[in-house]
Amino acid sequence: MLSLNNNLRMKSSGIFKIIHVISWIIFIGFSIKAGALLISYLVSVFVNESASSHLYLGLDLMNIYNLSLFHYSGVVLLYILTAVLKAYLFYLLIKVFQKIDFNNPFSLTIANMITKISYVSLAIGLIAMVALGYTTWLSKQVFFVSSWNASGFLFMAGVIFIVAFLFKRAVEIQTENELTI
Amino acid sequence: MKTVKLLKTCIDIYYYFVMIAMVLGLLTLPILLFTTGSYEVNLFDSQTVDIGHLGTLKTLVLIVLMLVIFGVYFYTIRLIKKTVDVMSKGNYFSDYVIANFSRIGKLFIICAIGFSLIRFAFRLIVSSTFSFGINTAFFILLIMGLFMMFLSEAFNQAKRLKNENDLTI
Repeated sequence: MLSLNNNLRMKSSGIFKIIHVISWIIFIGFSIKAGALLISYLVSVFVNESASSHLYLGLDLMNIYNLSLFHYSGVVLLYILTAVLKAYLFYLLIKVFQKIDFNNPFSLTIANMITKISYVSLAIGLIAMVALGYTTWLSKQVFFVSSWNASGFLFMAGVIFIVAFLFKRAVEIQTENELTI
Repeated sequence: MKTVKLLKTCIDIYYYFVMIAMVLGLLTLPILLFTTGSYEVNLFDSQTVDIGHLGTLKTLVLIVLMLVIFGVYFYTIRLIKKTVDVMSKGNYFSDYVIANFSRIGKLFIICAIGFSLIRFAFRLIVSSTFSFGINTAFFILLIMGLFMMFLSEAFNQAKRLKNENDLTI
């Protein structure tokens, strides 16, 4: 049992370090995106409307701004909401890897956190789907380019849900095993 | 058990959608070789790219690259479908499921690199710009791949625990 644990620890530590670093990078990236979008939005509404043409990394919503402030606010809000949720998703992933114990990887806390990740991913997918419909409808009135990766997050939610289910089963087996001993 | 079956249905639907898209792609993409008309390709929910005006060789390179990478992606989905099929029968920690998790992880990483490669090829061939950028889709696929590989290791331990448990009883 001890050798298997050591084996798991050694094999996983490399993968774990990579995931941890990437998760931090993505978390910081999405946090910056959410903050930058919020500040650009506030500047475009209260200071200078031309900021709406360079919201974040070439995101140009000037045409929607000129069409209606309500629709402009709606689209920006959807962008900020998805960015915040994506940052939260990766924050949860960082938390999972901070709390996981390689000697005893199956705990209910970790299983619940993985389930939470799948729900957050599902929420991002659903919001992106709504946003996609909304922006498709808007693009019939004004020209603008937007991108929402709805299917990717919905698929990710499904896969992580399977993982969470398996993790919960493993927790049950581990608990049963400990009780038997 | 109910959730797994529900999930199985969802993944089955997604699998058949991807399969239909693949078949349609296989049928329509080669037509591009014989046409000079406008043909817009949507690259993963981002802006569309017109590849209808490209020469035969350039179009062929892009078509082959797209078919190979999407083929790998389709195979990954197929593997997930097969794994969930086995799981829905109650075999949660079988060698097959654990090995598949590791394989799915590796394939996700290949897809992450492959999709970035497609974007790179499109930029190079269509707009003649040499740039290699990584986007969210790349990171998500990479994270999922590595996570799957890690879980495959963890579930190996769960399998051992289960065997131990069965023997004790």
